[in-house]
Amino acid sequence: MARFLARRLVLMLLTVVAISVISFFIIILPPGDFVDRLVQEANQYGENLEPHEIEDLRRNYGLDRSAVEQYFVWVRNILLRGDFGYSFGWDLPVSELIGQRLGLTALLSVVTLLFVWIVAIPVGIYAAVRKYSLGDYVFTFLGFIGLAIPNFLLALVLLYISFRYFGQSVGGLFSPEYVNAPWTLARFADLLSHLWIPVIVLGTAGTAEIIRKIRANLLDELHRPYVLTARAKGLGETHLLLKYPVRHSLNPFVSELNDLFVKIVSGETIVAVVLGLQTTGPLLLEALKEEDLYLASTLIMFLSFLAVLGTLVSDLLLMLLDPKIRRQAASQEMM
Amino acid sequence: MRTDALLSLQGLTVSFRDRRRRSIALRDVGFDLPHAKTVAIVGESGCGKSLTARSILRILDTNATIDSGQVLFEGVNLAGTSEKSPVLRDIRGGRIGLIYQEPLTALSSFYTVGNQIMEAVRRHQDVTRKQARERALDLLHAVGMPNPAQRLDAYTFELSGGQQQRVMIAMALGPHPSLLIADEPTTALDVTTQAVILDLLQELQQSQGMSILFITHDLGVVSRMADEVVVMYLGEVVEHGTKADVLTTPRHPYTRALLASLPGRGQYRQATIQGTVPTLEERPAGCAFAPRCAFARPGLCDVQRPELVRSGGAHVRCHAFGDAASMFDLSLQPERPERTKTRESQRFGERILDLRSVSKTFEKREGLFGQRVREIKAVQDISLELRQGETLAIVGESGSGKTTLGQTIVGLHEATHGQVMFATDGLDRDITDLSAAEWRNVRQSIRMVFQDPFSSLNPRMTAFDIVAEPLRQRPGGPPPEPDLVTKVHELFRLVGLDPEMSGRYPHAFSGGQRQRIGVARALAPDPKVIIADEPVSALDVSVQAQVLNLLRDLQSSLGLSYIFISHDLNVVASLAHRVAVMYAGRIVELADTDEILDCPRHPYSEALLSAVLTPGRADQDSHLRLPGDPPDPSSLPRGCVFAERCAYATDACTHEVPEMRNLRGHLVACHHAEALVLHGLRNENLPESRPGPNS
Repeated sequence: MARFLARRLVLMLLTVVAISVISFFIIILPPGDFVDRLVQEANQYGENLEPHEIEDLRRNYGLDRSAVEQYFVWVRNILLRGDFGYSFGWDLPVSELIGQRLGLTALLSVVTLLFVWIVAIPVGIYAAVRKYSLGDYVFTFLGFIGLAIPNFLLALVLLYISFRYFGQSVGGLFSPEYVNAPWTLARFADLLSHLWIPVIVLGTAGTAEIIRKIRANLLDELHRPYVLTARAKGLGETHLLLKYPVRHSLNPFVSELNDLFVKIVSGETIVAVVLGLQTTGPLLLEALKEEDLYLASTLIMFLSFLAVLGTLVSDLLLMLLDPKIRRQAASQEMM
Repeated sequence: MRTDALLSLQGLTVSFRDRRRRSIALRDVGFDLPHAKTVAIVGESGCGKSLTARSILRILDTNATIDSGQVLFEGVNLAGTSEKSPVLRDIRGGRIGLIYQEPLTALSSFYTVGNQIMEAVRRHQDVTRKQARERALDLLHAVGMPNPAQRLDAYTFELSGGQQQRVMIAMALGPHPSLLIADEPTTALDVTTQAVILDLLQELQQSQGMSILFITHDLGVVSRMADEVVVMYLGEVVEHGTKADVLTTPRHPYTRALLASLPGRGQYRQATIQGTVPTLEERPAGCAFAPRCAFARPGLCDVQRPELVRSGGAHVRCHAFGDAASMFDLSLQPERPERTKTRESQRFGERILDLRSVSKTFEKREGLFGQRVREIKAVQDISLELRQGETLAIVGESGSGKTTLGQTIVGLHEATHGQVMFATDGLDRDITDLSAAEWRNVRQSIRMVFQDPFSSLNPRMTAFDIVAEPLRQRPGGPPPEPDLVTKVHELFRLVGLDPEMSGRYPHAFSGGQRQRIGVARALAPDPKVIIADEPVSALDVSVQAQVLNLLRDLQSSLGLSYIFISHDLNVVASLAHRVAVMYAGRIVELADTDEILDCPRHPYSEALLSAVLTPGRADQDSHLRLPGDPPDPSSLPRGCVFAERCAYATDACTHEVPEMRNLRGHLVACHHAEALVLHGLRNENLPESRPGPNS
């Protein structure tokens, strides 16, 4: 087990390094850089920058060096000083800028994931066991609606409802008075009262999909011989349902957990723009538009890191769940 | 109901419903199961055997309902209770245990076997976890599990098939049931393992005084296990009597036909039952068997359903034993099959295939970056010849390398060592290292027929396209369309299919018909050699006989050579001229069929033969049972591969690999071949000793 984990951590590290290279160079790749944009903007205001001024700007931002050099300086500063570089657009260190937003993105994603599970698993089981019942049809119908409605529309509808009927401030994760307040219990409560809208918006499509998947997986398992064996042993229906077919049907679902997670993280951008959330999505969008090199690279790297972490978590869960995978990992360790 | 009956079925009728219709699956099924006896239910697939078992336990699928009838067990009518009633749930597992065909799928791979056995014990007995664990350990002991204490914490995928079935048996016996329902419990196992498991079931029955309801399609197993036999056809009981009654003096035409279609010794055309079991929706009016019955009287059998009548000690559902008996002459036997060929080797033509020390080793990469290579020696040092017009059978347990060898010959695997010399068009050349283009030529001459007729045909191609494909792939380019159509239709007729049906897709054909399509596809490019990998093992006996006859006919008319891979020695005995016995990737013995069957020279051949079950054959001594499992092909023992399980092994056997030697016509790889006196089948099972006409 320890060796399996070590192996996975090494691979994970290599993946993150590869991602950092790719994300950095993809942003550098298109012609032009942040200084070019500055020059352009200055032109629009009728100011003309002298070539030596432009050179000075480039040197100040460190953009006069070769791309490879820039990359290594960036990485060295991360490793030695935890310095992720400087955001040209915001005139702030990247770490200051993204700290809280990354936390909120992670929180939002994890809460959404939990919401999806808590709703989808029991409903999926119900829909499979009571196939073609009224409840099954109702959930199927709701699920398809959830899949079909675009996120931004759902977001607007929920915003309207929360404003009209609950009198909540529109948009954001905090009421105005808490935006810059220190963490207190009241601020946390305020966060929760705002969080449900993005969670539902982000989770609906995923919930509908997972319900369909669990229903389909479980329908496959319900008539397997081992279920018959359990029934022939005299076990009660609920007990045997949960112990055997449900457990067997969770496997593909857990291995797809990471896909879901990635979908939530990347689907978050548009919802965050609509709802005005202080998460990483809108920030990344802006940084890409402005060719804000270090901010964009750092965000992409962290989001990819979340995805890689998600894969590891889903693999570990799979090992907990499936003895076959556990034994395979153990036998590799022995050699 | 008999007074000694533990279980009594009376008029049990079960039907399947879907939105459009209702079809009767079990019709008026009735029989008694006496205390401490074994009743076997036999019949082809689709005859309602398993459904009967599931109806007794009330574990039917939701689309099946019990319409009428009674299932009386220990004073309770199980058919009359609610499916959720606690009484029924206590009987399930507690008083009636169930084991069935595929132990791997019947057990959960997510829990240890100990967990699953303990669960059964604790469900029905008030014991602590610790006591239950002790009980589970005792049970594993009782079913002869090696290393039971360790196995308790093992998962199913860490056990062999035989060990898995032992777990199933232990689980079923845990709460001391008075009835054990065994639904095809040995069908998925090797013959050698089957023999051991059947011994075990009989021992347990005697020590616990249990009754067994034994469901099987295998008449050999019936004759080994049963006290009484119930023959079912299309959901009806057609004959019921003692084993002696049913197997030696069968009455119902279906029973007779089943027995007659068993493969016999020698190149016989086997008797067959025409057609196949109809689907439930197509249940014939009158007698269900009438459309396939050689004795059926029009105007009676196809109109009026016969009653179950008494005849001697047995019960038969046939007009020939009822009031209209005078209309029938049952002494008529299906044509006595002719012995078509002599078996003398001189008759065969030139050598066509010559394998010289062929080996196939698979490599499996392991470790952090796949740097370690584990060698799996699937086939080792195989030398054999095949002559024109000859059938060479390759037999052995699963995992012995039979299939790998066949696939290596047709080039599906590349041989690691050795040569496969193929003599054709006056050339004799090694086909193991041909270019892809040259292989396309050779592939026209060496063809394969696969085991599973369901998955080996592309479901999206019509039967016509499936058979035409190899013709279209001809190296010289496809033939013109009219010629192609003529040729494909000719092939359809050759394998006994109506060319009219060639536009249909595989799912529209029955298992036997699909296998005929597979044979037609193999025959399409006029091959010289056909490698048939278990071509009949997925088929019911009556259909199996039809396909075997087809293979025989094609051999005599087209002069084909067969390599026939099979685990079923009865089939091999009927079809093959020579037999190669494989064990752990090596050939351990190779000789003419009669030689090997009657006086085997290798202890493994003897053990295989002793496990063969045929109706009417006397029981073999159990001292020949093979203990344990075949060795892991990635870590084979140093000396003789069979030494670990061999009753005659000495020190020399564990050190030195025995050379293949020629001993009076037997090629045999055993250090002690000269010294041993081994038992074979003798000629006790020639068709002449088959059950005669009803007297």
